[in-house]
Amino acid sequence: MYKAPSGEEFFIIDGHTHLWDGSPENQRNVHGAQFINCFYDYHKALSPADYLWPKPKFDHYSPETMYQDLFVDGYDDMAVLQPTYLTDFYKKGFNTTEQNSEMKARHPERFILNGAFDPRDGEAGLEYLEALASNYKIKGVKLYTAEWRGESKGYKLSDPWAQRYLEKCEKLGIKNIHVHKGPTILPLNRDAFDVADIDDAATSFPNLNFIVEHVGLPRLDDFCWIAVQEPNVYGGLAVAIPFIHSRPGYFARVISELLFWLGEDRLVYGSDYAIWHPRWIIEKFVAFELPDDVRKETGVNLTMQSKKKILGENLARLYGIDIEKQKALIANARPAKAVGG
Amino acid sequence: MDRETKLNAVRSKLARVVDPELDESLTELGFVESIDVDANDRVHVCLRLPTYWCAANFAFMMASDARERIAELPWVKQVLISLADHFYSDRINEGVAQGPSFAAAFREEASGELDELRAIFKAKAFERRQHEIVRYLLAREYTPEALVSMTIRKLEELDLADAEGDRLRRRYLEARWERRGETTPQSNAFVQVDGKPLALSSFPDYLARLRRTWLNTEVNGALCRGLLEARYRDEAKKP
Repeated sequence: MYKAPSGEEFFIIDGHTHLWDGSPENQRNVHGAQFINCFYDYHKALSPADYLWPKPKFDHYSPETMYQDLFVDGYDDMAVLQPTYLTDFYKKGFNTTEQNSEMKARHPERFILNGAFDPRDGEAGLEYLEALASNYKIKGVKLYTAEWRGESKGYKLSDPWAQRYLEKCEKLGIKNIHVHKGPTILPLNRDAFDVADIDDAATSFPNLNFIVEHVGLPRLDDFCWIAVQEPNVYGGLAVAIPFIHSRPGYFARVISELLFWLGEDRLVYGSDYAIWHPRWIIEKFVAFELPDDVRKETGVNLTMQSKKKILGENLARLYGIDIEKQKALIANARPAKAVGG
Repeated sequence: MDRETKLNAVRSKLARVVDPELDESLTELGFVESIDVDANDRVHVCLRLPTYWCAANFAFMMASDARERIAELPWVKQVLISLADHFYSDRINEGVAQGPSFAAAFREEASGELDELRAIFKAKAFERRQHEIVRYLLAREYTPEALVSMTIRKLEELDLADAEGDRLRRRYLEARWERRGETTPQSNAFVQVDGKPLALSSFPDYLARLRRTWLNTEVNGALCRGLLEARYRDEAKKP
């Protein structure tokens, strides 16, 4: 729970967190090393100096550290665990559903555990998805359409097998499809950041929600264009929101553009922990006001109500969370020593 | 010609090569790590990018454009481009050195040429440049009516009191002349990317679309610069 200096209270659901192992011991090859190095560059490029971690801590941190950062030092009330398998780069995987499930098991009232699928896994993958649904009761999945897999150059949500997986999600009650549209490693002659397949899938599956992570950056323009036409498409703010510190002028422009095209009901906060820490992001976001010229040009405003929706209420709606009930669950789960102060 | 003159000539050639996605030159972006001319007039250029994972298609375009531009210098015997610290460094370096098409360099992964992708990003660059000059003019009391009917000649002749306006105009006109279709000094200065004229009634919607394209490129540029700086930060501190 974040209480602003003004006294306003915010229930915060972080839509994008990971418990990963990028340590040298777990790296399978040079790509594993380069992958975590690249994450670390994002961390260095956009974090305030006080929040910079040494590289070994960033490579591999403990569940205790994660809990402390998100809920004790940070202001998250709940967090969605998004998996990133990358089994071609890491021996045990980088951040699988199974790895993340450790956090969920320790603090069930705090976490929403998401799964993943890859339509290139065919029938076996459909069975795995069923297993995830029955073992962990997942309500969402995280997809990487541009992930390298053997000979394959990635896939599109409009592919026939992807459609079968989405049908399965619908049957299993997995309503939230988080799709990573972002950096890829493939030398495709087409644009690997293309968001057009989201358009197609959102039309074919009106009962599913498609949350485009990183708001389609680096194709924000195309993303806004498809999102305006599809009411079940959402924008995840991970990677966009930390601009608030280093490039607040651009952040003002990005958030106002998103409010203009999608509106305050279809944007969700995500820290992308451990790349960024939820403490400074929340403090700065709640305090943030759009400059007059941007407000005038776009005709939108970032109000207290918009902030409440973006920081928690929208994700609560997507994941069926009753905020008042959840507050009580969290209060009851608090360890005795914390209650005693 | 002394070595310094040659290095400068290479540098100005590289200043004309753009990152297709960001519409900025390799030198402005800091993508040129080193330039050297050896005793046999062979030019060695090392490029570096913000991440190990930067899309290889764009990396290939930049490396091969750099090679072509530098080869235009009459004294150059050979151009050797190398791309450092990239997932596909070896493949790109080899492909560019032999001068084959992208499809040949990446025969398993790519199924065609890059022309279509280039055209998409040329169109985005056109819209971004148009947005910049249009915003500049709107802020200086030019009305939408005036802009919609302005000819290229008129735009060229406008008395823009500062260097910034002049730069934005030059960049836009360069893109404007490149657009397909018959273009003369009497043509409309401001047209849609497909050559269609602008309508006054839909001007605000049109501007909103341009703003979206402009912002995306700006934010990408800021992110790429930040990542490049973070990636090579410690190196820059070395004496």
